[in-house]
Amino acid sequence: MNRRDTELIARVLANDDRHAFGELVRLHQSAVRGFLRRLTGGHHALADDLAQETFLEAYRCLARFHGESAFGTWLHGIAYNRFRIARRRQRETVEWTGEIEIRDATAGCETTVPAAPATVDLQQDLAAALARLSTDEQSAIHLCYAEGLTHEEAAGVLGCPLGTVKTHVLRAKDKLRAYLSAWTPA
Amino acid sequence: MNTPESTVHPDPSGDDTRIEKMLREASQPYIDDAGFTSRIMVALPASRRHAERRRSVLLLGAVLLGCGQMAVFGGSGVVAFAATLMERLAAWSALPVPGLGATFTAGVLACWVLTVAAGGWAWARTR
Repeated sequence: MNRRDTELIARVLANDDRHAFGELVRLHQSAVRGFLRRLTGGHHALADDLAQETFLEAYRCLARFHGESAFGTWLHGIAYNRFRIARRRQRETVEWTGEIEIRDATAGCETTVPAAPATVDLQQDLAAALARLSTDEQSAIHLCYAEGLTHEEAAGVLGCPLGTVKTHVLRAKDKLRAYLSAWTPA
Repeated sequence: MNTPESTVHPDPSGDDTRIEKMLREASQPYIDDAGFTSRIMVALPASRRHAERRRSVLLLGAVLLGCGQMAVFGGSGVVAFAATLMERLAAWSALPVPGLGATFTAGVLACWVLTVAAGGWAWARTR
């Protein structure tokens, strides 16, 4: 776990230092919100609501965090649980198909340098292809590649066996290979 | 770091490597805070330390009030009560009155010590 997180957590637990907790939120909000946006298929408002629930639960349960994993990984686990609870609650009223419009998939890409058209097309195709994966496959791919977690860490976040995560990753890559076959060099 | 699948499953066409490269390069862009952290801070529950301190102050106040009432109102009343109690108990039990008196005094002292200890503990918690 990185030293900055360790110091901030210690301050929150010892003195209920809210400024320290605010700093933790600032450091990790982008990763958590990005993860939840991926899970919710680009529903930014829902993702931010779930992210808020995630951080509030983290504050309440901070004493239970003992540093077995990185703090960010622990937050991702809470975020995934909040998502699962919300999905279970709304399963009958909201279709969680993961299908999103291509523009939603790339919304929030605040780049300062305009990307080349071919790069933008690839990003859009990749986003559309990722949206066609199941939620579990998307989660596994996002955690292992976008967040750089190991398969073991991803299994901890998702609360499933290591073999299941590896299967999700393999299946996801097989599907992506098929969806993105047009981008394969001749 | 993930072991590249190509070392476990041969990937002669290089598709796997390309897909992995695409996935790593397409990682989620940074999301601006835009007031998100402020909203979290506003929504945080009441400070844990303040809640504990409030409880300790209430406990200390109750202890002091009890001691004050005892001092103001209990003086002569306690003596009269103790005398009547000892007479009745002496009529009922085999213990002589001095023995009963000592027992009663020891009990009162024990209660007083416990009360002071509780007050001291509550005082320490407010620091």
